[in-house]
Amino acid sequence: MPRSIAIGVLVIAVVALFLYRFGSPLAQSSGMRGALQSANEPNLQAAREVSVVAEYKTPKSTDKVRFAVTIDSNGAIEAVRTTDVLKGDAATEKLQAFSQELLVVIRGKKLSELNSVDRIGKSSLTTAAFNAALPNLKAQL
Amino acid sequence: MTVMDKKRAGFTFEGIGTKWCILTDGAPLSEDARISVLAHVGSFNERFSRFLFSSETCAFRNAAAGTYPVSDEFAKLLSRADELRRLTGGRYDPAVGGLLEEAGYDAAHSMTPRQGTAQFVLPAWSLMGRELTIDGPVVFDIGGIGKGYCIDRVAGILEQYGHRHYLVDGGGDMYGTKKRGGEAWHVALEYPGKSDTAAGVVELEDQGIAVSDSFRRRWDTWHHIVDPLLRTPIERVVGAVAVAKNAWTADCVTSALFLSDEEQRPAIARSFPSEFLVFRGDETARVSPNWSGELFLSRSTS
Repeated sequence: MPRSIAIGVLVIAVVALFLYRFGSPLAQSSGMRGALQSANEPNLQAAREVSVVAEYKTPKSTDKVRFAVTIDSNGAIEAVRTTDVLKGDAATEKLQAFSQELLVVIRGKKLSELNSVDRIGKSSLTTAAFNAALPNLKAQL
Repeated sequence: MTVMDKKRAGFTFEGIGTKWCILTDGAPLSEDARISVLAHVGSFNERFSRFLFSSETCAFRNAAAGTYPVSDEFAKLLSRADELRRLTGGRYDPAVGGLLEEAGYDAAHSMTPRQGTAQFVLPAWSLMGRELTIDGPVVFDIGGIGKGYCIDRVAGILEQYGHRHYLVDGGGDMYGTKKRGGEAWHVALEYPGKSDTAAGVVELEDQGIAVSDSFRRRWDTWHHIVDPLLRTPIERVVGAVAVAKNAWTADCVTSALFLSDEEQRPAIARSFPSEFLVFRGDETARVSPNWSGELFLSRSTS
C-alpha cells in the first residue's frame, strides 16, 4: 500500500477515534464553515492539542506516525498535523505537504435543497460533437 | 427560488465548446458589449481550438524540427503552460494533444483509441519570448488553462463597457466581482460525477473559480485528463476545485492538482496562490488549509 494512502487511512481512523472520544462532530477546520454543526455538541472550555502515535506496515517495515490534533473550544477539530516519529520532529517535505491539507469525506447535498445560489461551478458539459460520437462508440463494443 | 435565481437569466451563448452565461447585477449587458464578447470568444476558439486545423495550436502538427515565431497571446499561454509543466514534473504538458488524438479524442471525434497510444512519445518544446522551438510535429492542447484565460478576457471586456458587478460563467468555471451591495456571488460546487448534488458552496468576490472532473468526456477506457508520461488517464484524482484571484489562475491550479503529487503541491501553492479542494479516487477529499467555502461533509469521517 502506498505510504500516502496508508497515512490517509490512518488520519480517517484517528479522526473517527476523536469523534468517538469527544462526542463532537468534526464539522470544520481552518475556517471551513461547517454544514454539520450539532445543537448538542459539547462546549469545551478551551482549545487544546492532543496527539497519538499510530503504526502502519509498509512492504519493508513498520512505520510510526504521530498525529497532533488541535480541538477548538467548540469541540471542532481545528488542525491536524503529522510528524514522522521515526525521523523525529523534522518532518519530511512529503509529510509537511500532507499535513497542510485536511482530509475530509464530503457527503454532498442535493442542489434542489440549496437556496440563493447564483450559479453552479462544474466541469464543462460535453460538446454536441462528443455526445454524437458516443453511440458510434457503443456500437463498436 | 431554488437552485438559481430565475429572475436573473443573464446573457447566454455557446463558445469554445461550452455554454456561457454572464450575469450582471444592475444594468443588463449592452448590445455592443454582447457583440464584443461573442467576437472575442469566437476568435479565441478559432485561434486555439485543437479541433480546428487552421488554429495556432494545430499549426505545428506537420512541422519539422526548428524554431518558429508564435503570436503574443499563444506565447503567453505557452509560457504559463511551461511553468505548470515544471511544477508538475512534466505531467501537465500542452503537447499532449497528439496523445489525445491517438486515444480517439480527435477533430472527427472518432473516439476509437489507436494502437499508437502505447508508443506515443511526448514532443519536446521550449519557448524563448515569442520563439517556439520544437523537435518535430506537435499538436498543442491548451485545455486546462485556456478557458480560464478566456473568461478573464471576457471580464476585461465587461469592464471596458463600464460593468462593475457581474459574474462570467464559462461552462462552470467563473470570474465574479461583487454585487452592487457588496455581496458575494454564491456558487454551488457540483459533486464530481453527481450532477444533482453539491459538494459545497463558495462565495466569489473579485475572484475566479475553476471546477474540473473526469466523469464527463469519458470514452472507452479514456477520459480527457491524461498523464502524458504514463500515457494513461488520471484516476487517482477525480475532481478538483480552485478559487483564486482570477479564473486563469484557478484553471491552472485545477489542472496542476490533477497532474501532481502531494509533495508538489506546496510549490504549486506558492506559484499560484489559491484555495483548493481535491476529490480523490478513494472517495476522500483534500482541502487546502485556507479554504473558506462551505463543504457538506460526512459526519462519519469528518
